[in-house]
Amino acid sequence: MFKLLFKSIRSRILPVSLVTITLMASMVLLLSIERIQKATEEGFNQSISGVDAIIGPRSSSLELVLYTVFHIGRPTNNITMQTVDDIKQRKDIDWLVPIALGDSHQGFRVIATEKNYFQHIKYAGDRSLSMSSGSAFNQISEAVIGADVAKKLNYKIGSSLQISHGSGESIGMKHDDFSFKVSGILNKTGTPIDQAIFVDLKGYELIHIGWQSGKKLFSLDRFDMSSITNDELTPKTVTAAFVGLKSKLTLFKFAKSIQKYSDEAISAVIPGIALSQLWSVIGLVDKGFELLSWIIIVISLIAMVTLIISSIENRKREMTIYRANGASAFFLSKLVVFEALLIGVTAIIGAIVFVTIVSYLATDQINVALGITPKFEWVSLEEVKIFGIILLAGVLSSLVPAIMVFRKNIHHGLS
Amino acid sequence: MILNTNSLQYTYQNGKVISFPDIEIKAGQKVLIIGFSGSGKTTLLNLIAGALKIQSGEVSLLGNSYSSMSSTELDRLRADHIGYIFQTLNLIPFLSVAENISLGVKFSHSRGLLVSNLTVEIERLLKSLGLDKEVLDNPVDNLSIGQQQRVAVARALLGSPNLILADEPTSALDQDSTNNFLNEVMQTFNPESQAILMVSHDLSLAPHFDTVIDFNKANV
Amino acid sequence: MVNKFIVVILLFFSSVSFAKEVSDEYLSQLVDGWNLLAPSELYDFIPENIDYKTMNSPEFQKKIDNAGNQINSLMDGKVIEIAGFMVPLKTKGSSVTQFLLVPEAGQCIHVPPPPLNQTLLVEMPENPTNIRDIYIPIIVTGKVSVGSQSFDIADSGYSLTDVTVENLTFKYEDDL
Repeated sequence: MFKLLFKSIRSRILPVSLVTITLMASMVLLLSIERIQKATEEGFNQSISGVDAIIGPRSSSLELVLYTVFHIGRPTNNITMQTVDDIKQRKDIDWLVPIALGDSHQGFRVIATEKNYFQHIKYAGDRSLSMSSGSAFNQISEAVIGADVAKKLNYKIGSSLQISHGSGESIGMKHDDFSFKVSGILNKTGTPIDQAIFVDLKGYELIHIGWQSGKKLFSLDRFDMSSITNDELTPKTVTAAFVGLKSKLTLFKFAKSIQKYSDEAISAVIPGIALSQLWSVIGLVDKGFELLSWIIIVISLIAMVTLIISSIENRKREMTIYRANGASAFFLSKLVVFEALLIGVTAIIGAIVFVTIVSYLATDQINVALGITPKFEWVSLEEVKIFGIILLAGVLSSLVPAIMVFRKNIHHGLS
Repeated sequence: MILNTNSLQYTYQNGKVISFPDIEIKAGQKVLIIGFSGSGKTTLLNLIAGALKIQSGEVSLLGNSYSSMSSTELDRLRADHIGYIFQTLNLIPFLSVAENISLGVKFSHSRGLLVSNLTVEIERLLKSLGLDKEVLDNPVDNLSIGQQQRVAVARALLGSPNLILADEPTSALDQDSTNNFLNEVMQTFNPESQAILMVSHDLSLAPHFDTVIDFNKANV
Repeated sequence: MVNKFIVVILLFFSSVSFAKEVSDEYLSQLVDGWNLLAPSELYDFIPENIDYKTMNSPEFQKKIDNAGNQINSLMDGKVIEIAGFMVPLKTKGSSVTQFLLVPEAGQCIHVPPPPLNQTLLVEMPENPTNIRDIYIPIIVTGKVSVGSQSFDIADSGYSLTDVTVENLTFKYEDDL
């Protein structure tokens, strides 16, 4: 039977190929969406690790996580350094890293923090940040840059950069009276850290001397640097603080007492909880895309059934000759169903191979465009299940023309 | 006795009813049924071939009564004991000539067993039909109509099925070719075990047959 | 990450109106508009060399605040082309008929309000413009008139009428 089937398909190779390609394209879509979704979810969850709580001004916890971890959005308010110092004294705290956000350089976010950021902030489960060259800032004029920043702007150790006021969309107001020098370049992490530039909090404060209400009153070369002490360069407010506790068991107690802190309206956000909230929001968008691609698959299956039905007309002669030579009507139906099966399997395998190879070859481009690192695997268990369903649907829908063939032959015989 | 039909009657979807004359065919017989188009010739062949379900009456092939057989059994009976030749377009274009001929035994188990060496048997059949074995190498489309019909006959004869049914196989051939064709066909079949039933509208074919049934006269 | 993906998609849909790509010189010109509204002479009191103590002194701070409230009446009737960020005040569906234009994104809402002379009250009652996210830079062209009105979010001294608004893009945004 298979020899007959293959030769028959070969004689109709053009329409069959077109339908197979259509089906394959729709599966590529579904597969891509599913893989991007998975990689993104993993990417999100990998972005920060080891941080038990994020202290910030009392606002949406999701917003806080978004801008402190993913550098999306802007801080709505600040918290005072006094409060930060106060919290630092607590017995249940192991370490604390304050950060300030707000400026940018060539579209990359600038994060002002303390040197211990590189020691305590981890990613992807439990990996520590490491430098591919250089070291963390020792002076306030030094900066550490993420792997993508170095690559995109072609910066090396010693390269100088000037920071722009505001987060990327600011119009032309540069802190051009002070240059930072790159002292360290971080290894690639596959997280937003790759696109960030780190400076010391004091350096950040320094460049904002002479700025008021977003307006630059005088440039730094008019300012007497010696008139300000190192301590005075410590910023009075920061955006947030990352906190590591001595024992995770005290986490909720800690968060609650922060909520009750009387001197300032602050709250402690637990990253894992906020991330799953974020995920349920984004999940909706993904579900939308997923629905869309399922619709496209249904349309492709309809195309396949249409093809098969129209091909039966063309194959009338072929089928009648088989029948005349003793083939059962069941045999004819089998031909139809197996053709559908063949098309389905080819489309599925083609889609899997295509997506896997493309994501392998274009890993870098995908990372830059979408910020995710697709995992290299041929096919996952869920994908097998999904494809099984699609194949079943394809075979079932081919039963329609198969039955048509069957009945036609039974009722009309040979002619 | 190879074939026996009794009081066959068929009602078409448009309401037309045709009653077929009873037919008896023994081994070695060459039967021609004459009738104009629409007289039910093809329907009769379909009923005899077991491809169309019997509504009223009986057909019996080699003692097997069709009404007591299931559709699957009928298909097998047809595969084992009947060779069918169509009016035109007998061959499948994407199969080779040899593959087309092999279709004759493809769906039959017993018929295939009778053919010990497929290639040899095919070549023998072709030769007796006046075809060179080189025709096996040609694509189906390159053959002339006459050659195609001979190939179709080879297929119908492969494995020596007891009953050969032919539905106007010569209507696309000219007078001379028709005569040659029929001469060759009548030579190849084995009168001890095989019989031929052909339908046509062409009365001039009568000399090749020993029994002629005229539908035009016999129909209701 | 999908963050950038989603942000890009959202940004795309929110700023589908035409955007003008600007060169660095043109951008400086556009930003210079704010200097016309608050001429640098206002800040002449800042000494050539200033130290930390002076900067933090209450007298200095008071002078700064004062300077911020000075309106340049010579600007009355002049047409300017200026780049800034929208803070919507009156909306009609998805259009805005009155908004504040400020020099820095998020001002008035997230970040301390700008000085009085660095705010423009833009009136577009007849031909409203699309609402923009407060972080999307726009180029506004119109006629200045000098007056004073007060709002919840900030005070305003300059108003702008006969206005056209365009989006502004920077070259590096393409590589988001």
